Amino acid sequence: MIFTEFRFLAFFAIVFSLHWLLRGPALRKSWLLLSSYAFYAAWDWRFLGLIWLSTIVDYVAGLRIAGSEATATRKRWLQLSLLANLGILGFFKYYGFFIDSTASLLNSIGFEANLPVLQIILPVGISFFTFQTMSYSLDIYYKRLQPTRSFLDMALFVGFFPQLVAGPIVRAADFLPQLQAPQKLASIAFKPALLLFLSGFIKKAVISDNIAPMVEAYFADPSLWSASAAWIAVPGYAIQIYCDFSGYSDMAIACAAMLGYQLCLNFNAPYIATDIRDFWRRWHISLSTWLRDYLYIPLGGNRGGSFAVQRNLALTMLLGGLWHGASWNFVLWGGLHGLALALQRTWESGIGSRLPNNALRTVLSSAFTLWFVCLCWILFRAADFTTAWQILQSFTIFQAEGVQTIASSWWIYFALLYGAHWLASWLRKGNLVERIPTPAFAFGLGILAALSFAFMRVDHPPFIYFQF
Amino acid sequence: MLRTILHLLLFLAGFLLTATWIHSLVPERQKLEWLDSVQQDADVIFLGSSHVYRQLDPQLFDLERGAAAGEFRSLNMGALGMGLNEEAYLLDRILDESSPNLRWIVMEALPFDTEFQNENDFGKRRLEWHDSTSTWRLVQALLQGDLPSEQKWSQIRRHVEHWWRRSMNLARGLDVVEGIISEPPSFDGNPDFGINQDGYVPLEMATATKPARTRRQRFLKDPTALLKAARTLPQLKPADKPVNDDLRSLVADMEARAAKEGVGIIWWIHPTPGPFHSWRKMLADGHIQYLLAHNDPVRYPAFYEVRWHWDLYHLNREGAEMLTRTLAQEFKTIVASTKGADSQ
Repeated sequence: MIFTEFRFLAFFAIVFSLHWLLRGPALRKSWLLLSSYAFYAAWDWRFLGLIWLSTIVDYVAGLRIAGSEATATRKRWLQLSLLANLGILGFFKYYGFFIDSTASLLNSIGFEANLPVLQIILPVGISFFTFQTMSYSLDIYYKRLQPTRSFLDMALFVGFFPQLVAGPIVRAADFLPQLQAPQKLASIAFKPALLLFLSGFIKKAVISDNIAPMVEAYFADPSLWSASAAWIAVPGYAIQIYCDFSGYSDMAIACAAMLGYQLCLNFNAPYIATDIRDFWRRWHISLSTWLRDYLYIPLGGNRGGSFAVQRNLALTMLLGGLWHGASWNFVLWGGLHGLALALQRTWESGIGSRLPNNALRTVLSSAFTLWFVCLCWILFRAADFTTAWQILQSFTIFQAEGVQTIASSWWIYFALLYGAHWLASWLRKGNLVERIPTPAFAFGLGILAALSFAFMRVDHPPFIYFQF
Repeated sequence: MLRTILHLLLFLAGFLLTATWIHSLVPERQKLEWLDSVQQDADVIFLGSSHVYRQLDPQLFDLERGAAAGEFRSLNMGALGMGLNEEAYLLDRILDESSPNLRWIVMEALPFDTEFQNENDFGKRRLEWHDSTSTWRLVQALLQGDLPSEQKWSQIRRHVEHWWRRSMNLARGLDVVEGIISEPPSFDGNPDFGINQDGYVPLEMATATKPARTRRQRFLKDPTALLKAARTLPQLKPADKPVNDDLRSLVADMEARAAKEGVGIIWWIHPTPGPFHSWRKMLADGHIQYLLAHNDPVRYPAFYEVRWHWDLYHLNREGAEMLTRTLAQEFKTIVASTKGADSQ
């Protein structure tokens, strides 16, 4: 069940209505928890056990860590939490990858390795809920958070359905206090939430899903296509993945808001970023801040010499890449971003600091950042390195074997979408939605909904980030 | 509370007005657009499945019924795989915008089917005829029918989903935009409307689809089913059970709708191996006025000869010409009888 399906709309209508009809926070939270498990079970009920395991382990670990002053005990319980979560993640997501990689390595140095291969299904949302629960135990360990005594709250923190399968990665420090002091129906800002849901719906079902066939055709066999096709398909994929993921996040945030919970912003117009650091402040914000707080800073962060900082950056981004998927493509993708971040630091402390900081520099820097981000998406999307290399050649030095072209009219759509991207970021600052009279808003929303239905794809391709 | 209801109603108003507006812009099937452009003088329209599309030649029909050039004109609105519910929808559409000259619709007699093949699920044509009337009729028939529960609800869900997609214009936006920005289609020379541009495309090697060619090969290899039908059809006794209520009621609606526009329906049973007793019974009971039943090997032995057949269910071009001529003669008789009745 994905957010753009009509059965989800029906599901949400039921959850929403009963949630607000029930009296008392305990009942409401229990209902939300039940709905969340039903939502997850619609994917695959067998993996509910993993969510329960992660919930129980971190609930107990959190209480034990907070309940002890002895460092060794605290550490032991933290290790248990990390072991359980990373164990789940490692087994279900990375087992095959590590076995394949180890076997390849051993084969390349002359050992014939027959390592056990298992066909493991990847549970939806595993990377999200394990990171979420790990942050809970880590925050308690670092004494940044008090554990919750309520198992119901803990279970809802892990299983809350709007963000369960593809984020945003919620921090306990943000979410648990909301469970303690629930919002009232009257205090909910429905207009921004409804508009956010619809804009997410349009991003996913109208824009991303309609671009997908063109992108898929190109990436399936780039050798058939000309270099000009790469210059449409690659930016096309950049738009597809952004609209897909940020569309999902928008809908998740909107659903949570309508149920009285605030989730963190996950995207902030990333393609208008002026440099690569700015991009990571705008793209998948909940992951980048997670990596910053729980990986980059513990590794040393900005402390130490230039080499240490560069190493921390590179390592964080390599692991960030690996988080996305069990493939060397993702590792290299993360590595390239890490390299770019490191180079930016060097540039800023060197030549960059002596150049004038004017509009031309901003425009050139933004354009280069966008081009670089698109370039990295090639690695993210291509099936293997050979395919990625073919596309990289087309996209950088215009060298391509194929002759097939893609209609250049796509550029008109891309330009319009880029304009909308700017406009959306500008509108968000102004909070204009609240100023629209509600009757006009309701009527306009109806018009937009009818238009988006007409332009949506009906086969509901899954969200790209579900595979992570 | 009242305010919330008002806002919900405003949302619905915005939604429905826009959806209706978009719906009015969704292009119809090409054959309806073609009909609009060619129907000025048409007095007869053939409607039905491939049996009509592949077997009834309007030009020959007009010649045979003695029409001088330009005096009368018939058109073929048949389409592959059409069912009775689709016929009912198209009848409505044709009558909505028919030329003042239209007098007769020769309509293929088909069974009332609630089920359809999966292959064209959510195809544009199938979505098109799933308007509220057709869908509700099918849902009612299924609810009252005696299918096993699982099958019944699965079919209801499919029909309702077609209706839903049609009503919401799901994924039709690009068709609308294309319809607005592109030139109106030119039908001249379009092979879908036949050499004579009257909608008839006979079954020949050049025009047959791949499945049609496969069916022909299979038929020529083993035509016993046709020969058996020729022997056994005349001996089949009508089952002693009443006509399906859904069929009777739909046919009555169609008759009434046509009569309101001053158009007569002539039901036609093609030379099929099946008996189609229900239709004969409806004629006998006075539910329909005219029925031309060509599934009669005694009266029309040639229609059951292998040499005139393309496959088990269709005649080849020569067979179709023979059939068209026969139909035209019988049509003349019906027209003469109505004129006689009028003058009395």
